[in-house]
Amino acid sequence: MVAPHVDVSNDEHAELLACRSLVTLRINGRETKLTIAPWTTLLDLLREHLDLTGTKKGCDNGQCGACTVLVDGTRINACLTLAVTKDGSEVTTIEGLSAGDQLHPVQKAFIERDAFQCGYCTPGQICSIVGLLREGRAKTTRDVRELMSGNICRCGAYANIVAAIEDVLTEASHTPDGEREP
Amino acid sequence: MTASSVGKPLDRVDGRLKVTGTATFSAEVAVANVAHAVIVGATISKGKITALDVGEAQRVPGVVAVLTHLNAAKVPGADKPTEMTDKVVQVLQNDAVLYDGQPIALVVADTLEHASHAASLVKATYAAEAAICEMDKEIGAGFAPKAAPGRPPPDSNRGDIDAALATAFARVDATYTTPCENHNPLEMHATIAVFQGEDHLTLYDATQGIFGLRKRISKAFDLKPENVRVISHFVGGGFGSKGSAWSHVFLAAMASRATGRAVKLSITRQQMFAFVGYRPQTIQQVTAAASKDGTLVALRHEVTSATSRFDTFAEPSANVTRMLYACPNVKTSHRLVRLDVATPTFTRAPGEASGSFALESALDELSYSLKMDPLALRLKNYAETDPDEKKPFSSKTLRDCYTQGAAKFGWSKRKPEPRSMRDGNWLVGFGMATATYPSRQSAASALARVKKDGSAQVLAGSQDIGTGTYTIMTQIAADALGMSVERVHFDLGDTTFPETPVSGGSQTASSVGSAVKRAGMAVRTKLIDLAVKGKGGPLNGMSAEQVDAEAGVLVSKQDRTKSDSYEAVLARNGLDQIEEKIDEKEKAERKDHSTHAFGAHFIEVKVDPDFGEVRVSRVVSAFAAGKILNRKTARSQFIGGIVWGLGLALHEHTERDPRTSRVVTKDLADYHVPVHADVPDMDIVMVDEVDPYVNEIGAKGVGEIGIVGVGAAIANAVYHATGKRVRSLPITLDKLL
Amino acid sequence: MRAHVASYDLVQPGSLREVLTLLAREPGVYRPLAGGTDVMVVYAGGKLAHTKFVDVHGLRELRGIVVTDDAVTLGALTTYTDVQAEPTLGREFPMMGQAASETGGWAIQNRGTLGGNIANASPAADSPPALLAYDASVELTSTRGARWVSYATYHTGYKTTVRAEDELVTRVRIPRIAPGAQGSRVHMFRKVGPRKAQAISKVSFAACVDVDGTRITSARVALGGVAPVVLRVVATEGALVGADVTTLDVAAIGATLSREVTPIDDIRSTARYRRRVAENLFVELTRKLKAHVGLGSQAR
Repeated sequence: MVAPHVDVSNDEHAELLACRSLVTLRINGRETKLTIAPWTTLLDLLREHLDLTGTKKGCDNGQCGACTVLVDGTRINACLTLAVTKDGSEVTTIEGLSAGDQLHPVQKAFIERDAFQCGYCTPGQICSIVGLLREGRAKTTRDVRELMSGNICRCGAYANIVAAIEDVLTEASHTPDGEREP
Repeated sequence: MTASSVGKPLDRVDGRLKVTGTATFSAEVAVANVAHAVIVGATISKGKITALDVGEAQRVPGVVAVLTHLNAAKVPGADKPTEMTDKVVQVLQNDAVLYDGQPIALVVADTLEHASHAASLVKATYAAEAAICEMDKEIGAGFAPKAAPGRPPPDSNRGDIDAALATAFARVDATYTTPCENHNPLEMHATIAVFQGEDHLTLYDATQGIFGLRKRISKAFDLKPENVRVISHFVGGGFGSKGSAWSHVFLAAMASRATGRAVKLSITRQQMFAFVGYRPQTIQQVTAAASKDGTLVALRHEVTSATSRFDTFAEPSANVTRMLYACPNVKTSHRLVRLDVATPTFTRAPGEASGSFALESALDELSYSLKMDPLALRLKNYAETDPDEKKPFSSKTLRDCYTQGAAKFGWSKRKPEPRSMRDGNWLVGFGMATATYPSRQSAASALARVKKDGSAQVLAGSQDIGTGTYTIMTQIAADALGMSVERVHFDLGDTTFPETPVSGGSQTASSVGSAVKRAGMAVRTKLIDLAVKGKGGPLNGMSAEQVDAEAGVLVSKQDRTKSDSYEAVLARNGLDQIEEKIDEKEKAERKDHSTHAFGAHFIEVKVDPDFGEVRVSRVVSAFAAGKILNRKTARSQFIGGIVWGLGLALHEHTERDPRTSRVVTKDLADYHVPVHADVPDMDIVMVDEVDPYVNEIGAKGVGEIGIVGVGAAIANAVYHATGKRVRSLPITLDKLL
Repeated sequence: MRAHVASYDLVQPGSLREVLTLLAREPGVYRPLAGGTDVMVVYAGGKLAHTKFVDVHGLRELRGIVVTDDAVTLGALTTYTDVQAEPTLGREFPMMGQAASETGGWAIQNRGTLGGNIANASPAADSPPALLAYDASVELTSTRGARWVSYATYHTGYKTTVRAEDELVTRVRIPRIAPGAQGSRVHMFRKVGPRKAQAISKVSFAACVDVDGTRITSARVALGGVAPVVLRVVATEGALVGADVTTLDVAAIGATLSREVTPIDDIRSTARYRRRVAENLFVELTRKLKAHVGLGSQAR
């Protein structure tokens, strides 16, 4: 991957812009080294520097969850995370959840339950759910709703999203590989 | 006949793209040599820019241009809207500041980081003037808006309301208010503008109307419409805000022309509260009166809504009152007041969502005065024909919505007295309201094509803003072509495709669907003609009426062993493809009918008596909306609308600082939209309804009706739970203690 | 819009010693950055005045929860998710987990830290009332050494604290009840808002009351959202201590509490509402106390 182009022609800004860090991330199983400004968020790194646009920008404020990705298996808001602070981590985005044509069980359940409309919050919802399932905290429908409340769906597909989650939870309790590791 | 796909709960055809993150939204289109633009917004709400220091911004490495009113090219059409969806835009044409956050400069740079950084360095000095944003203070200056062409007039009057009021047994006079709401689709508005030379422009834009956008931009920039191409394959929600070309689209195009580069402009969440429209605040006075048996004798509904100083949008809240009940004496009016704010616009069920809150709350109040069940009151005043247009309904199955919804909800368990039902410490309330939304149809075109490999391609401009357009059009086309959905590829979102209307007013299924159906039927007819009259083949010599189409194969109705595939017909006749383009107009029978979808909401709330917290615990809603094209995606539209109603009732409110007229709720932490924890499971009843008049496909449109009535149903449930009547939305905790 | 992207500086020292040395060398120049849940929002909003940050999120010294006989000590980087998972906290200090579970959404809980929350001193935060009710102390460390301050004296005003510019919040300590102590404890935490998760509370309330028989032996009651700082209502506590639950003068003590709070009108709610809620929360506490000693029914 190429580092973003930096114009250092102007003295006044050259010093500040020269302040750059090398970051190594394993993104969807592939080791990725980049030289970036330390203030580059993980979200901008994915979308603008790596063209991984499946992760969405909905607010840039940690208030909507559209940028949810998994870092070392834990769901986080990529917009609130400086990429350099995750040096050496394993990052899984929506692009890394399916294996070729084989969709992740959560992705399948989303299609079956029509758990989305416009689709813009969907990658974040799905990554959040994968993180939620790993946390193992959601025991009841009420827990699911509380623990998913950081992911806004403005189209209002919540009831279908919860139904999709419950399908996956039920499936997981029947088949040992129902909840696949991302 | 081929097994029908229409009506089946087909999974979305674009589902896989959306769940794998590969659906490409406007800001994500890969365009070569793209520069990034960032808008600098005004920090006052009214006045003039006296100085604009862009020196520091221009010195940021990577900055390509800083556009301001001092150097920007003139766009003479910017303040000359011609169509209903057109807006007066603020695109650096002068030094005036008309509202908080108005664009005052545009920074273009090589990267988003550089553009953002430079934008933060632009320093503006203003001569600020006092800005007014409090509507109640201006209400005396209200004026009647002009009627939009083809839309109902602002005022109406039937019967003699004063005489009727004099004889009424029970009467409610009340003022209801609804707040300013911002649409906040999760995808921020975004445009990539690419000028090729001086006279060709391509826009990748997050829009609900590619053709409207093309018309507006081509006029404003004095380009031939055919030289402007708008592409919009996926839109991350619109709800009305993406129905117009707002300032940022013009600015992106201006920047591309000025720099000779492709320019990407994605606005920020904070800017979503500034210049892309909102649902205006309303103040609504309602008088509802009835005789002793509950017969409505008079309805008066006077609406005032807010608009900007420089443009006009009126929230048509009283239209619903004209037609919903069989009341002989009805008087309604709409007035506007001007404030120092940006221009409002269409927001999911504009008018119906806000107006039904007032009307359906007033009816609930009246039911208590009459000691009558709220549902019985509605049934008592059921309108068998449209009392406003004085026409029969093309279809109306509202009575079934009431009875089926009430039965599923368990409405009969409602104790009439407020504050009479409890669940532990929580107060429990039942509320209901009627929903309705007009079933519109606009002219639309579509092209269908069967190719020599036996697959079909169907094209119509249109948009899919999450409503399921891709999916339902595929189903309609497959049935019309006599093919399976797997072999039909429907594409949209490009002005090089046949022309279609804006995805607004719940008209896409109706308008585009009718065109797609007729285009598919026309191709099927051509294929049959070719099979029976063309070169050879097993069906040759039969009459067209004797031939059926089924999964891409033509079959003799008499002898089903005789068949001819589409591939074979084309090959034998030496054709690569066969296609038809249809320009569909409004269905003629619509003129003699009133066309509306109807529904009924039954909602249970629980209210904490000590803290005023409200939880919506159960929702049962029944809808009759003609032919349901896809039960899965239609249900999603209904539940989405209801969630919007929940937001209107309990959460959403764009607040301004009255001292400065600036928005203080500029993010999703302070502007609350419903989240998972707010939304219960919902029981949606889709009542069967056949409508032969409304349009070619018999479908009424389902995108907006879901929100209509929810505000009132929740407020009515809260009253039933607590005995507190809240007439001012949203119902926040403090209003209940 | 995102401001000054190029002009921010972020350093990532490898140890606590290095961080403290940096803070001591240029006091006030470097601002510690932990989970980033507050700082990043201000940054994205283009309103972050500070430009130099020191990333402390990687410091192992600030992690972990240690349970000893007399206290539970939490590293400053303990996240809200960690708080909810700790069994001793769950058993003995349940309000810590309840407050943590109602702080922001899941993203904030996974990322936001107790130390960061304390350092930022937001009056609307959800954990501080619980910390006050449990009589927590905060450890502030600099190259000059470490000191423990009672959390009750930590906040000095709106967003101001006793922390010096070279000091880092390093640990939080919550005292446990001495083994063999008489009586039993009543905990009541309540966040009042439009919903639990992902909403800024209008009023939050935490009370920890020790009862011996029917007599109140100790009471700590704290409220957020009713004053410029998270408030211990000491006069109310004074009226409770020594009183008998069975003969509690609810109206009189409630009036005392009402005099102690000084809520304001803002975009999130009204002063009148906040005062009423504070009063009603107190009534709920008394109901809970009565139920605890076997009088009346347990509320909710």
